[in-house]
Amino acid sequence: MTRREALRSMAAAAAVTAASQLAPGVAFAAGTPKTLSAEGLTWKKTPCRFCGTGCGLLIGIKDNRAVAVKGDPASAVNKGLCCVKGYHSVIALYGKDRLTRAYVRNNGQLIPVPIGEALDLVASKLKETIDKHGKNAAGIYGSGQWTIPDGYVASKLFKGAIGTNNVEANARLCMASAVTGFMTTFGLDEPMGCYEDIDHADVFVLWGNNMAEMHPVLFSRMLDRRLRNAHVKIVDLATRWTRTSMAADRSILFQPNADLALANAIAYEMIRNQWIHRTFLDRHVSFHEGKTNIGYGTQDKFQFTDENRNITFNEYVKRLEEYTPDKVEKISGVPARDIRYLASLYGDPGKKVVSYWCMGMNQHVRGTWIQNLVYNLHLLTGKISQPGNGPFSLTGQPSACGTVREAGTLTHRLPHGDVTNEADRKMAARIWGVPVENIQPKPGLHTVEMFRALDRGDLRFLWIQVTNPMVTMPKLKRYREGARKEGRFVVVSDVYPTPTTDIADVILPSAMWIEREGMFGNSERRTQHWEQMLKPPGDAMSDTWQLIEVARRMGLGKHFNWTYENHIPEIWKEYTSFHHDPKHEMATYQALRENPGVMWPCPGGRETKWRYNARYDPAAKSVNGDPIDFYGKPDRRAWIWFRPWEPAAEEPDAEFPFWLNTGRVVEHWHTGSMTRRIPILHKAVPNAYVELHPMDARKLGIRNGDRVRLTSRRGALTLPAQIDGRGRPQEGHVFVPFFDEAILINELTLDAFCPISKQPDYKKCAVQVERA
Amino acid sequence: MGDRLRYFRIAIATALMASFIFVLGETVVESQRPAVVAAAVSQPVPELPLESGVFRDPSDAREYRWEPDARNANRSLASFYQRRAYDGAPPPVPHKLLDPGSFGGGGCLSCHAEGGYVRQFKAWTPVTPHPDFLNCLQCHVGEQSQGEFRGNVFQTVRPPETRQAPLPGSPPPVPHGLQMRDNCRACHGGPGAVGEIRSTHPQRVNCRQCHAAVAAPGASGGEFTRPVPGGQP
Amino acid sequence: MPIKSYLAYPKEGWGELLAEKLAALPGCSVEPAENRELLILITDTPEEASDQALEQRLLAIPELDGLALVAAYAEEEIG
Repeated sequence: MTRREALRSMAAAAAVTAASQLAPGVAFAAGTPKTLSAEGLTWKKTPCRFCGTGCGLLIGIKDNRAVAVKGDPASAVNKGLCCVKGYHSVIALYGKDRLTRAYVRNNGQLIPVPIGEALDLVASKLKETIDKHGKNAAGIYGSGQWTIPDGYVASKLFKGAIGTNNVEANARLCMASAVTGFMTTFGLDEPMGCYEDIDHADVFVLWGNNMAEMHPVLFSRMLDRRLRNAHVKIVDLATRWTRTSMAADRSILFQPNADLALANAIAYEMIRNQWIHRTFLDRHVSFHEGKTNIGYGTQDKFQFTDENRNITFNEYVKRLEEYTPDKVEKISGVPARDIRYLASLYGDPGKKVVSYWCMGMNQHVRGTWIQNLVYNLHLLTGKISQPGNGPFSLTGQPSACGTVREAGTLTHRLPHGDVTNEADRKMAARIWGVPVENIQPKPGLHTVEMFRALDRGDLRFLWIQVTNPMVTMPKLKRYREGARKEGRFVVVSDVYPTPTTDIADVILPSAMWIEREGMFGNSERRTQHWEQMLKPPGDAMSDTWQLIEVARRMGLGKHFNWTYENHIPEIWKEYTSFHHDPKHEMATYQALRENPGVMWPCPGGRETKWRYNARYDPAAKSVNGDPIDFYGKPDRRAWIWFRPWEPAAEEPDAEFPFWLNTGRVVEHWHTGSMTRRIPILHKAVPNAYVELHPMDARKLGIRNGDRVRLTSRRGALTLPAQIDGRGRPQEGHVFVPFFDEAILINELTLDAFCPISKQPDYKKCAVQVERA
Repeated sequence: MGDRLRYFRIAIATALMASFIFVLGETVVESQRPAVVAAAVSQPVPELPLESGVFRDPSDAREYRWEPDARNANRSLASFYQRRAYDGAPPPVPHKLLDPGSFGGGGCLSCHAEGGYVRQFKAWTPVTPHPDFLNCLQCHVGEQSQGEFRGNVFQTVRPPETRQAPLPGSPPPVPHGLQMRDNCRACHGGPGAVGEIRSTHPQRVNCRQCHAAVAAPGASGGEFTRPVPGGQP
Repeated sequence: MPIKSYLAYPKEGWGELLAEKLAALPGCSVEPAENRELLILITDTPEEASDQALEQRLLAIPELDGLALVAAYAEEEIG
């Protein structure tokens, strides 16, 4: 068919669609698409299924189909606005190749089988692995897209009933550094503030965060604040020019990893000018330092434990002398006057400042450190835990906070506390009804080490739910080949075929989002519930129920003694019994059903918008009228850590002269397994590409659309060039989005990680660039 | 006779003018006195999100009177719905983005805030019903290809029917929701409007004086029945 | 804009004649609805000027009550 014929038939199809909408029941010889009558359309609330913002949506349901979406005007998160992914989210349920049956691999071929048979096989293989190779040869890998019940049941089954701590989630690749940042500075995870800070702040500083594309609904709220208040400023600190830089009042570009030096220089400059809050420091802050030269974790079985040394304020100031604006100009490429400008914003007592970040600071070989250093700026000035003032770590997945951080699905965590803490283990054993010896006191494998163990053969059975590691793991080739080795049994629960289902021995079809009941927890500690609105297609089953079915087949059913009708409210009741404490009290099931979302802690049903401030937080104690109380640490102080600048794990050199940065686009979410099946989003960005600076492109003779070959020490890839599209990297840098399973940029990335958080750095490695 | 009437008119006009100057003078003097009423503490006025755009910028209403022939409209209801995944979904951008590096904002709004004829596209620009939102490309994305990744079988419901006036000649009610569509004239007034639903009287600003919103959130539908203690008579 | 699709509404009772008249015009193909007085019209013209001329001829057909444009592709897009 020629292009002309194709366009003619598209024009005709469009007319048929339009006719059937305007003239109900109209029929043409050429075929008629069905549209449904709007009679009896009902609207039901849910959080959006994509990023961590947690927008409230209203889904239009008609005849067991989701047919439309509106932003929920009652949601405090988005107040009725969505982004293009949210508006079209329900279309992701209806991709033609939706997995509706279970498959089992037989002689290399995936054969469809009844789901009961597949679940029998999963249970028997899991038992067999434990009998032959021990409990720690089995593991489960989920994600921040697990609903809270999914993650809670996975943790109870593996950590409690089976007795292995090999429970991880792809949130390790996404916000582990945010967790360790919060824990080291405040002793408790998750932000003190909330999105309402946007409505009060005067200055927004974005640290490596392209919010216009990645958190567009919050960015719009910020633009709205600026539109109504001319004095409001947005400053974009980044290594690449983006739509966010375009919208900001000031864009400041720095060299990769130099944010560490930059944050220290801002602190130095504020102290030099006396722009710090001495009383706040005396009452609420203590000073610390840890190990330096901490490595990059690129070798197997890498171990690291940090050490705390208390220091004085003067010692802290002394260490900052290495980071004068002039010295840091050389490291970061940021002019000293811009560093002084940033210090004047943070330091001005008349300005309320919020800092936002996401993957730029989390996917960082010194991810924990950079979080500590940005907290320092807010602590030095006392700009924290009040409306419009505070650091805010955004999340990338709908329930990275709710499931992974709160319900505890990282290897060292429990629903309350850590596996290393005896009291926490006892609490879990009591609530789960298992012997306390079942819960191992040592953490198991973190994500990168989990896939290394699968390659080595230390891990033999891996169940992967709601995530696509064969696109997202760094240094992908090693982990793909490792997972395919003889003697490994991989179970994948998903809704569409992906590169991860390609390596599966069993595929379980999952019920998606509104096809089952669940809860998510967003970036601002808000828990959001939705009811089951649709029947899942074919044999598809929720991830929670798959786990329960396997547990029953293994003879562990007594721990999961619920019916399908009551399992979600029962799980919620059991899970929240871990958190009956004013510091973490969760909303009741009834309150979640009735509201678009409820923020914790909510003792007595009252939400806490700002933690550590007695005016808003009942867990904080006011002393002599001073409401600030950092109750997470034993000394009831927030910890300022001195952390030095250290270089990235791999830097450009003569052989590999370019920095490679990876990330997302507004249209696609993560590996695109859902968003690429939404026609409008696929048409907008049909494939991945490499962004180059126009000067580099000219030097290499590359024009827009030319094929470009990228090579790193791990692998090579050919893809089209994009010059001055929606982003412009600095000279000597390239950027590639990671959503495209046909252009797997993670073949090139490096599996170096932050030694404290174990989160890999997807933003920095070295590549060659040439015309293909 | 004619002359006398004319002189009479001139006399009346002169008298009116004199009294106007007097009143104006008084007003000017008045205005020089210091104000005695203290300004209220500036509190944000609570906004009704669904009503906020109804009286938006009536200054240009006169221009909307100018109406090209409806048969030449470059937007029809058919194309309007064809461009959207469902009634209420944000449509993609049908033309090349002038600056893909931009987030939208002034670049998009330079045409889509006020409308007007664009020679390059030979079309009247559709006006956005929600010009307060600036991050346009958050919802309205470009189109770089026409194919689909794996195919999709999503279905939606029919959009509301037009012309649901209860009596011949009575003003039809608003058959759609008003979320993100608070400026009626964006779609119903001026040359960029959708042909079939173009208002014959866009210069009248207070649309909802006559056109009731049947799709108001919380509207239960059905007929009014009066609950009577002890049952209906 | 050389490829366009329209919904064409005939004056009541004149559907068949309208379909015949439209199909006879150069570059026009017609798909009448099976159960409604409504038809789909696809026009395919070599360039802008002939498209404009065709549109004038369409609008002059007395049996046509209304014409609603649905989709349009410019010659540059067809390329």
